[in-house]
Amino acid sequence: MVLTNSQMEYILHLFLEEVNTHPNRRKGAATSKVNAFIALLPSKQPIDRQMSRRSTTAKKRAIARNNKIHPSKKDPEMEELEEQGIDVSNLEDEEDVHRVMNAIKQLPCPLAAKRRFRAKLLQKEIKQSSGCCGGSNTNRQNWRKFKIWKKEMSYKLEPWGSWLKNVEGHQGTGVVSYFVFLRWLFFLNLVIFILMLLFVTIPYVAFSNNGYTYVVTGSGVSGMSVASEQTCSPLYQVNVSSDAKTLIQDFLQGSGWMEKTAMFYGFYDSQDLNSFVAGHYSLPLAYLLTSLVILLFSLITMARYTMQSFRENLEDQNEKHQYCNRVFGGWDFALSEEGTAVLKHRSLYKDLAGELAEQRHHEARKNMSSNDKCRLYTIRFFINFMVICILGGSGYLIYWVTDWVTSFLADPNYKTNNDAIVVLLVEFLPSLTITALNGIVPLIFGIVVKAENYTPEFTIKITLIRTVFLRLASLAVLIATIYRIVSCTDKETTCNVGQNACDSLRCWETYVGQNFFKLIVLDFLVKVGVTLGYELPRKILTTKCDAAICKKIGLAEFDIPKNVLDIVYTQTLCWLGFFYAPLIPALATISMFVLFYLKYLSAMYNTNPPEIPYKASKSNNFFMIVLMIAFFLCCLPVGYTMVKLTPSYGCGPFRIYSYMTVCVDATISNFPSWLQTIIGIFTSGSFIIILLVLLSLIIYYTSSKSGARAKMIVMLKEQMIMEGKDKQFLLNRIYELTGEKPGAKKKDNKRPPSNGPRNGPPPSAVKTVNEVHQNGNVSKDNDLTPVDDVPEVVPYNDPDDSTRKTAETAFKREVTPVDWDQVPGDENTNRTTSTVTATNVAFDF
Amino acid sequence: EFCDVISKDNMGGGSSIFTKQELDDYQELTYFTKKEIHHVYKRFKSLAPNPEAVTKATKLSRDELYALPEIKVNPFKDRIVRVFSSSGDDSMTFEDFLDMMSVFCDHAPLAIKIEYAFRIYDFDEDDSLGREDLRKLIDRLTGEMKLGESDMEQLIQAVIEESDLDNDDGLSFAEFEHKMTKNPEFVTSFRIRM
Repeated sequence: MVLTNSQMEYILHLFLEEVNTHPNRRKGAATSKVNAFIALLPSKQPIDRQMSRRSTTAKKRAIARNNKIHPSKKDPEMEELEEQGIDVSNLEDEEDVHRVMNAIKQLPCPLAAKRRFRAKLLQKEIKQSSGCCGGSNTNRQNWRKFKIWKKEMSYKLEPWGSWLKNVEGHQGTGVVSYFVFLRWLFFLNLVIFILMLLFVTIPYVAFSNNGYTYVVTGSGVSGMSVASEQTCSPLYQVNVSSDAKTLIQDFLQGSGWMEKTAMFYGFYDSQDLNSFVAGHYSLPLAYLLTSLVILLFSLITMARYTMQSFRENLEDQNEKHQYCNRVFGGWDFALSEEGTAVLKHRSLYKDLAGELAEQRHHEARKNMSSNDKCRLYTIRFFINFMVICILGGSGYLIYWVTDWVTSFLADPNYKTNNDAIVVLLVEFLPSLTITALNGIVPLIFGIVVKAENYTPEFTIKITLIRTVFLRLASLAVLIATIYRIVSCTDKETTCNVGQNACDSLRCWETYVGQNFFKLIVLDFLVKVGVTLGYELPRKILTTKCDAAICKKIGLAEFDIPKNVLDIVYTQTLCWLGFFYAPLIPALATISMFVLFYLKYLSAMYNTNPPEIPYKASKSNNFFMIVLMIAFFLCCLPVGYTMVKLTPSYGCGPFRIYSYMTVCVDATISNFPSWLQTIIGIFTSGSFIIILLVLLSLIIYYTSSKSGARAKMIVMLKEQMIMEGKDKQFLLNRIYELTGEKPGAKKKDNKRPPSNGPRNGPPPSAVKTVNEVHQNGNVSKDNDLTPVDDVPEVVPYNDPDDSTRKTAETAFKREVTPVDWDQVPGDENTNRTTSTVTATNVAFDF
Repeated sequence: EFCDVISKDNMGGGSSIFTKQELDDYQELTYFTKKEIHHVYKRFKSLAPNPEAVTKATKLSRDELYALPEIKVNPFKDRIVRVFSSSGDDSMTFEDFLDMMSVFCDHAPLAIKIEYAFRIYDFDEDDSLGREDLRKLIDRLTGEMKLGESDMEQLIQAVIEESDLDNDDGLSFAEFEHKMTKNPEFVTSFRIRM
């Protein structure tokens, strides 16, 4: 609700009427009237809790000021208390006393004054049944103690809490957000790993086998054949070498002895297990459902994480307070170390300077000449073209390498013809290519982006987006290559294994798993290598060597975006691989765990805080979105495998089915018929359409609701500004009429529209909108100046009509000229000499 | 009394420093428990050059107060000492010190923190954060590195544009309060751990 013109007029009219009817004003009366009129203002009406809270704060401040001005004042404190809106009249029970005491507690005045208040209060109090530790008091304290205890406990239980604190002291909040993210991913992987372990690996290892009972075969289910399994399973053999070198090699590649371990898909069986509880445990169903649950769980946790940071960010978007937050909330009062404080000063400086540069940059771009613009856009176009070429080239390189490696390995004698190291290198070549590209290409992106002249913030983002594309594209190419191999058409009919031109993969799921296994192992080794082999020597070089060149190299910087992308990449590998290699989450968990300490080492000792001011909250959101995109891309191949690809007949939990989802059909076929009918209804097309329509309706409803709220926010903001303005306007009117001295500071702000020359003849009616009272401080009687000279005739001469309608019509009239310079008061008040009518003024707002 | 038993249990007879009345008052009027009040007293004592001679009535001078690590590195230390000194001469009695720690503690509500932050940042004490106040504030934030004159002007202008609702070229308390209630970082940063 914005204060309308008519409302303003009405209030003014009421006021002027009052002034007219009481010509002989006394000091006190005038003040009380002023207060009464201020209280009439719409903004002063307690619309909601926040409003009333604000007004009481103002009162408290007035009291506190008085206290500061007269510290030795031995005033009757109870009056002071009453003045500030603390009701001390009816203190019936302890609850009331408590309420008042709480209000005193929140007063911003010295403790000595508070103690005086309290002493008075306790004197006045009649009923004080128990001592200081009365019932509610003790309860409250116990509750508070419990809360403190709870907080302390949660702090203790928070893993790596003190580590994070150290990092925060050393590197700042931006880097801490990386560690929090890393810890979050660690726990996510841990949960995924535990789920897989509990529902797939442990049952398979621990339970005895029932063979192919009705639980897995179902009754009358198509796409199920036990016969082909029995022919194909014995054909899936793995050569296990006992040579120590080959053993290690096999461990790194997931081949040989590793291939038939619980790590990979091929290890599991599709038979019914004899569980302790129900007697039957369908492993295929458990495998499928656990995988789905893991994907769903990941999605929900991610959504929750995003929602949290999103909510915090949403406030920022509606109103600008980036600078205020930086300036007023910039210093961390808890800092207690000299070195940390110096770092904080430095980071604050960089943050502010960076933000200002960004703003200037923004403005400079607005004012750019068309020639410059043209050049800039041409440069950008070419660089983007180049980036696309690089991305495409990288993709092709990965494709070509994978293709070549496959053909190399297709040669049955490749192991005997070549050295073991060469074989290992060739096996790792696709992974090596991807890792190398991920290392080199972002460097190129980082160089070319400088020529594009983007804002610092956008520079980080665009480089990140390009890097993300590279990483996802390289994975996509790898998946496409694998898919081409897996879905090769020339296959023999019995076991569905490729022949002739196609690779003869006896268990293609394990092959896919091995690829991701290799990637994750290599990724981990590279990270360890970079930290220990690059950052650490650089640190030693900088600290031990005194030569100028060493100093110039300096410490590496903790590059947050790159580090976050690294762990997002690891997470992507985990999501892609867990279906084909159920224990890959364990690898990812270990990787994250070790990485935490590695990165801690590099954050605390090897690197400097990032130079670029890093907005933790905003970028966090961005990383989460990247993670989400990666997640959905991971879902595609996994989902496709579940639904569309024929599983290997010779291995894995789905070996008896023609599609993996058939195991669900088999389970349903064992249900009682009524349940089958219900499930049939829920999975039918028509039901899903209804569901979709319902979902779209909900989305529509929510989005329109949020739209309405956004409008509401804009409106409330306008109202807030209006309230500030109406208060000032009315206060100025009031001060003029009562003759009270407005505040010392004056400033010309919004001038009312002037109808004549500035320095022309005496004004007919001068408005004083330009007078701004600083404090809004109205309750000081002693500040009032004599008011004798206030013109007794006030322009509005319809005092008997007190109805609103007439007030409005009266107000629209031309104002009777008054020589406002006759008004006593301050010489320093610089009124404008413009002339306006009251109507004009009213509409000015 | 019951309370005395508790405090004696907590402090091992340390309650003799304060009268029962004082302890009651402190507990009711600050955001501390008895144990924490005694802890604050310990810290207060440790700041004095001669801790044994310290009583409740001892006034610590500004330089003595600067010995507190959090105050020492704080760019606004002179303002903090000024604002919390009830006598206005930059020296603090124990009550002032307790008051300060109470405002900075975790449990103090946002409103009171905002109030004191406003006073600390109001260098010229005119009850409004004007351009000069902001200039000093930013200068102290950045420490040894100073923003250039044009940067400084731009920054001050930006802060005022963001927060000044009534066009008076400065932040009144209400405007400051409005901004700070929407600042999630303020509560966590305006805090001194015990």
